[in-house]
This record gives sequence, C-alpha cells and structure tokens, in this order.
Amino acid sequence: MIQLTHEQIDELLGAYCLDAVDADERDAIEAHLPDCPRCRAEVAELREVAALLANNNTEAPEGLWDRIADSIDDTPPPMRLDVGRRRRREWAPIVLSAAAIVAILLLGWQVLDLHRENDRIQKEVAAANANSAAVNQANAALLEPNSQVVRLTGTSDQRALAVLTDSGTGYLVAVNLPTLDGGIYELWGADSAGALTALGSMEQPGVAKFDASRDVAKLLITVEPSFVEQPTTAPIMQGSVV
Amino acid sequence: MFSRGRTRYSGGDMSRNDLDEVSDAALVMRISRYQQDALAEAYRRHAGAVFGLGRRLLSDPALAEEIVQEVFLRLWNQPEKFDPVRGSLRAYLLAQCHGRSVDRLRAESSRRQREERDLRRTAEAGYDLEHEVWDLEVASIVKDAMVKLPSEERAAIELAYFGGKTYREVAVALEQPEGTVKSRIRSGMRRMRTELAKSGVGIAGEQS
Repeated sequence: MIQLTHEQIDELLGAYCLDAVDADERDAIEAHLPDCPRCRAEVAELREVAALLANNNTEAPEGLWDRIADSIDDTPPPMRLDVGRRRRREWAPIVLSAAAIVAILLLGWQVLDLHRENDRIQKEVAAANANSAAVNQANAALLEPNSQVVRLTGTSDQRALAVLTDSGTGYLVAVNLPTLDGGIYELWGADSAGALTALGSMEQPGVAKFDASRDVAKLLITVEPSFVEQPTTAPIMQGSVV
Repeated sequence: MFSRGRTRYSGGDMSRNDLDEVSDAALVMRISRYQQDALAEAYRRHAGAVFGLGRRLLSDPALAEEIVQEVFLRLWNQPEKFDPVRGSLRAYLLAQCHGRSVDRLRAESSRRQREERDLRRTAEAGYDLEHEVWDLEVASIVKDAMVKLPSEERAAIELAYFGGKTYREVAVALEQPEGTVKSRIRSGMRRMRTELAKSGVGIAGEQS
C-alpha cells in the first residue's frame, strides 16, 4: 500500500468523498481514518455535502420494492444475535438465549401484526405518492421568479414552509408535523388587522395546495376537529409574509 | 430551518437529539431486528434519491435499479455498517450508491468512448438548474451555493461526482494539472459546506 502523510491525505479528502481517488489512494486513506478523528469528521461532513448535491425528487420505479421484499423473503437472514458485538463476554450464552427468546416472541408478534402494519404502510405510501405530485408543483412554484416563501415556526422544533405564487396559488409544505389521530391541520391567513380567513386544510402532515389569491400579512396553522370557519384552538405555528 | 435541515444533515455533529434524526437511526435499529416494515420505511424515504443518483451516473435505469436493490439489501443484511454518529442515513445510502455506480462505470469496457463524449457534455453543461430536489428549502439553498462556487471548482466537482471520474481523469478532461484539480475539489466541497452551514443547512462546519 502507498504511504501518505496526514497532509497528503487531507488534500485528498474532497476527492475521496466523491469516490474520485484511485484505488491505492483510497486504501491509504481508509487505513488512516481509524486513527484520525479529524479526517473522519471531515469525511462525514463532506459526505453530507455530497448527499445534498445528490438530493433529487426522483421516484424509485414501481415494483422495485416488491423485488427487494421478495429477495428478502427468499433468503431468510441468519439469526442476528450478536448485535451487542462489542460486549460479548463470558456470560454471553445467557444473553444470547434471552435474545433468542425475544427474537422468537418478536417474530410471533410481527406475524400477528402484519396485516395492520401492511395496511398502515399502504396508506402511507398512497399519501406519499399524492404528496410527491404536490411537491413537484411546489418545487416549480418555488422556482418561479416572483414566488414568495413564508417560513412558519411554532413553539416546538417543528417547521413548515409556504410558497406563494403570483398567480394566487399557494403550497403548504408541512411534512414533519406530528401525525394526527383524528382532526385536521387548518391553514389561516391573517390580514393586517388580524382578521382570519381559512385558506385550506390537510388531514395529515404533507404538502397541500391552497388559495393564496388574497393579500395576507401572516399565515397560521391550527389543529381543528374538522374544517371550521374560525379557529377554535390556538395556532401551533405561524409565519409573517414579508 | 425547515424539515431536513439541521436534523438530517448534521454530519459530524455528535450531539444529535432531534426527533427526525432519531427516527432514521431508530429505523435502522428495527431493521437490525429484522423488521421488514422498517426497511420499507427507509426505502420510502430514501430510495428515490438513491435511484436518482444511480440513474444520473449510469444513464441506465435498469442498472440503477440493480444498485438500489443492492444498497437496500446491504442495509438489511448488515445494518450495523451504518453508524448514526458518522452521519445521516441518506448520506450513507447515497455514498453506497455512488461507490457502486462508479465501480460499474469504471469496469465497463466501453468506458473510453463514453468518457470522451460525456466529459465534454458535462463540462459544458454547467450546473443543471432544473435538477429538482425534493426538499424545497434545502434545494434552493444547495442550488445557490453551487452557483456561487468558482466555475473551475464547480466543474471539477460535477465531473467527479456526477461524471463518476477520478480527479486524475477530471484533470485530463479539463486540461488542468492533477494537483490543481485535487485542491479545487477539496476547496469547492469545503466552500459548499461553509456556504450551506451559513444558510442554516447545518453541516456542522466548525473547521475552516
């Protein structure tokens, strides 16, 4: 293997994170990484940058998941009981058998729960597909020269984003709100005097189109039992239209 | 910042406590317990991006599908290879996809001819502004950061990452010294990191 100094390796890390180094350089870098926290941190960060470059809203082809799921079903995995691989000591056999029991119980539970899970996943997939069409439209709206972005924030860490276009269509992108167990998210527009108008609603976090034809100073989101003309609860998040 | 900002792209940051992040990591925990629904969920979140990158590199949807399959089967069979401390699941899966795609590209016998053709095309194309990104805010930030890069750095990164070339091959294509290209890739990537961190896309960028 070729020998490289820390400086030489440092110089190569950008290319390394893009898989753009020769095999012998790669080997030298990978031999160096376990001993060098600084280079490891650099690699982790630059890989995140690369991932951002690769971000795209492509959809995986239909049927691909089924093929993956099939090939998993065809080859049952080995029992993966050494998950705590770093902690295996002389008492390991006891731990393993306990883990085996848990694994068996889990398997049984999973089979019983499979139908419910499938149902849930199918609903999520349907929702995700519906969302992705709206995401494409929202993305296009964002690229319009005169579109306007409103950031909505709440008390917790949650965030949402609204895109308002010149043509009076708005898109609410609120994908990381909590899933609702009954009720809806309702979007409100406030004029400069504070009067509220219902603009739209959605049943679960996602992307929704709304009417953005009137002038509003502020956007707000509340959780409501059903679609209402005036809010019955305090807003969970809001943002000003600049 | 919105949705996948600081949470999912917080690279080397060890103090991760965001729910969004926990959920990807928790997903992998469940995968390690053979919960197929967890793999399905990981697939739902990331397969599109993985497929998109593979297809962009290989220009062959069938090959790209193969790569997606390999990447997710590997996650299923060896979930412990993913270390949440080292970065996000998405970055990990995309890096897997990129490495595998590049291996195929470099193994192909018709490589030389295609290189000639593609290198010129990519070199001239510049950053593809229409290239859509599913996370709107992050998308616009990444786009801005990419456009702001000095054009030599941008071209070198593009050729390396989306062209699947080594920096030596990029040097040939751009008719520049290898050392120059190597530094440009590095400085461009670091500039992107700083720029993205400044815009609130938190890639913990405390190093200069």
